[in-house]
Amino acid sequence: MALKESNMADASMSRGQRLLIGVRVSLAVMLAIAAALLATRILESRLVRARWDLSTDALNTLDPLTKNVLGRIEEDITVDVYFTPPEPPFQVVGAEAQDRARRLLRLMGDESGGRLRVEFHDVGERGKPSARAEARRGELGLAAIEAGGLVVLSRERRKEVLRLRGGLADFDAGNPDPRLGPYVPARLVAFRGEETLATAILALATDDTPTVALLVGQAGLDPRRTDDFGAAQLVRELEADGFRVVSIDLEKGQSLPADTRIVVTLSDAQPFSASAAEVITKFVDAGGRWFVSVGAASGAGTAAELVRRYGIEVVPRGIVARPVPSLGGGMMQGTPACADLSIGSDGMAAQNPVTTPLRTAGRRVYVRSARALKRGTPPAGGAVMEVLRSPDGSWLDLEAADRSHDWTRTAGEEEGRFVVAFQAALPALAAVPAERRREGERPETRVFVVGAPEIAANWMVPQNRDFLLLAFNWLAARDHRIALARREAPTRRLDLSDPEALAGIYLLGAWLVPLLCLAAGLVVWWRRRA
Amino acid sequence: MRGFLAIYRRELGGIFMGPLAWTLLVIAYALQGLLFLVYLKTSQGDVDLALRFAFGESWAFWALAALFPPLLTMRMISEESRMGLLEYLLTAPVTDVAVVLGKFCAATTFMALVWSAGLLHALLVMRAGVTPDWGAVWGGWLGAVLVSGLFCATGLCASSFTNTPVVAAFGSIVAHLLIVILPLLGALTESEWIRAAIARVDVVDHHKASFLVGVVDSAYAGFFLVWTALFLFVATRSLEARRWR
Repeated sequence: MALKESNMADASMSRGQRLLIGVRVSLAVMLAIAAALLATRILESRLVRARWDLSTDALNTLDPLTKNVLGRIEEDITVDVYFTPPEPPFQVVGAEAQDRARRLLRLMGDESGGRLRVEFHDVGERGKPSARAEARRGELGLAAIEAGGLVVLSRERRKEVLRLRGGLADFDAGNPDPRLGPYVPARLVAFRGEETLATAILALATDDTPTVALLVGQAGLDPRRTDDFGAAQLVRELEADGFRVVSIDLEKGQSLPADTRIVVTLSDAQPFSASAAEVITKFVDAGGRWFVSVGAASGAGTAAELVRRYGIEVVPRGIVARPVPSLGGGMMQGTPACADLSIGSDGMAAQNPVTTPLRTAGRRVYVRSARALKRGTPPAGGAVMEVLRSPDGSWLDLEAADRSHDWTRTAGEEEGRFVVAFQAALPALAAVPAERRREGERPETRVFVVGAPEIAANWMVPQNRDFLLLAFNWLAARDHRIALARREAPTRRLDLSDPEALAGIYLLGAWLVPLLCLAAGLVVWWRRRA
Repeated sequence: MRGFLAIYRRELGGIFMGPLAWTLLVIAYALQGLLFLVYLKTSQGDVDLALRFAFGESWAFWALAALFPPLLTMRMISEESRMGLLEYLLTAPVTDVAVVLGKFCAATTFMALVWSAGLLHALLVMRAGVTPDWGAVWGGWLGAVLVSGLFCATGLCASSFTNTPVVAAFGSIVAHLLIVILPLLGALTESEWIRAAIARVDVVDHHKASFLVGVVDSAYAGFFLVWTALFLFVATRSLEARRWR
């Protein structure tokens, strides 16, 4: 009996001991997990973090200027990445650019200390995009994602949209068609991701919100209208780019807000009253900025007449037209499509803050029914610079008595390449009010005139968004452009057409070494067996 | 230290004395050799891209990384325990830490040899006239070794929990597959904090974002080392607990 009791006591003690050990082990494991989480967190902090870029081309090292920009981010910037399969023939080079962009974004995210929040969206190569990708696309107001994809940087309502092709990287199509000569594969001409992203980040991080006063009342484009011939889309894009847009009707006695930086007249169909014209002139003379898309109105009090003061003249008659390709392969006239101009880099001014980014990215500007502009006489010290010029073979199509056009070049109609957009910069003609004076900036009047009345209409904004935003940013003197030294990584490519190169890898890598391992294994087995 | 070296030598010798190691090496080298040719063709001869595939951008890499360590580590503790050999080891003048570290390092050394196929391919490419980005190659190899180290540690941990090697292998393979597909599961959820939590422990991403592109980042290296140390710690505690069973 005593022995039995003693055994029971031993067993009970053993259970207690086991329980104690179990509790201690569990506690130790939990503490270890907490310690591991804490340790990884500490290791991520900038104070103890070190990194070594072993790559030959140092592609994983950011430029000091980029690091500086990232260090200036005060509020979180969200980066939404929508990469889709690039279109032929850019599949391989597009994927390479996407890969480099991913690496760069990761690097920038790490460097920013969490201020740059990068999210790669699954847009579905074959299937449907994920629900989250779609939801974010809706929030960002992206209508469509082009082949190759895009990167959207956003902070509150502001956003910067960077396209893969033309924005982050430049591609050359090569010659994919052997009928047109020897086959040349598409290539990555330049990867400008770091420069483009740093510029966009700087633009978002800068708290400069210029006020844009959109003048209504001359039956021009209405900022409230969302149909093709309204200007609601322009307002949205400007607001997304960090502008504050207000609509002002000077004819109803409304006055320009004191902090107005830019006034905008979009396709005026009626002249301004004398008092309204005086308000505009006084504003622009005193270092104000003016964006004009010339409307149908002509004569005294119209925008076309008011811009003469700044050295830009609107040719009173005629619409710039050009022959268009016909289905048969030739060129044809006589169709209203002749009034549609697609202006590529050959029609864009070089070394110009508005057109240089467009030229680099290989983008085009589309204008319809444009009136030709001429260089006038600017005030002393002023300069008028050409921005856009119509393509070769253009002519000035004159109106018939009933104001219709035949869209055919006839005798007496001038032929040539006509300027359809000008910019003028001149010293302020009047004293700049204190509220518009900006530190470190020379008081300067800037005027940007486009001869096309519909350039900022809703239906044209998606095509001309970059051009318009560059023009407004030039007017607002918001230059966030960053120039970084190019770092190109040569693609180390093995000539696959050389059978010897592949044969060596095949024989040695896939056969010889595995067979040697097999032989070694057999020798070991044989010796152990012996 | 002496105890650790003795265990390490004994385990490494044990690995290469058995048929399993050689079988695994033949499979790994043949598979990696054939797949490297496929990578070269799909990347149109871009050797850096092909080597990135070999060191972590492909499913084959993660399949090998998830499957091989459990096969190596499954016997290391559980089999010895089942056969009664562990008692001898635990009564020998070596610490539990030395036992676990010795076994872990032996398994990781074997995995480093498995991934050296990529180094060999880089040499063969150089012999063919194209010099690869050696910095990225060594970075990729180092990352692959660290990933394998983590998986060897989890395998060893599983082996210390049970006396049946097959159960240990199965448990750790399931765990590894979960670790590898974790980012895919994260993409399915809408919850921000779950995604953030998954991102913090995403092994695939930690490898791809640094080592694979030729960057040695102390935070990313620390991530692998810390989690490996955690599993080794658990394995040591579990081994210690066996003394009291």
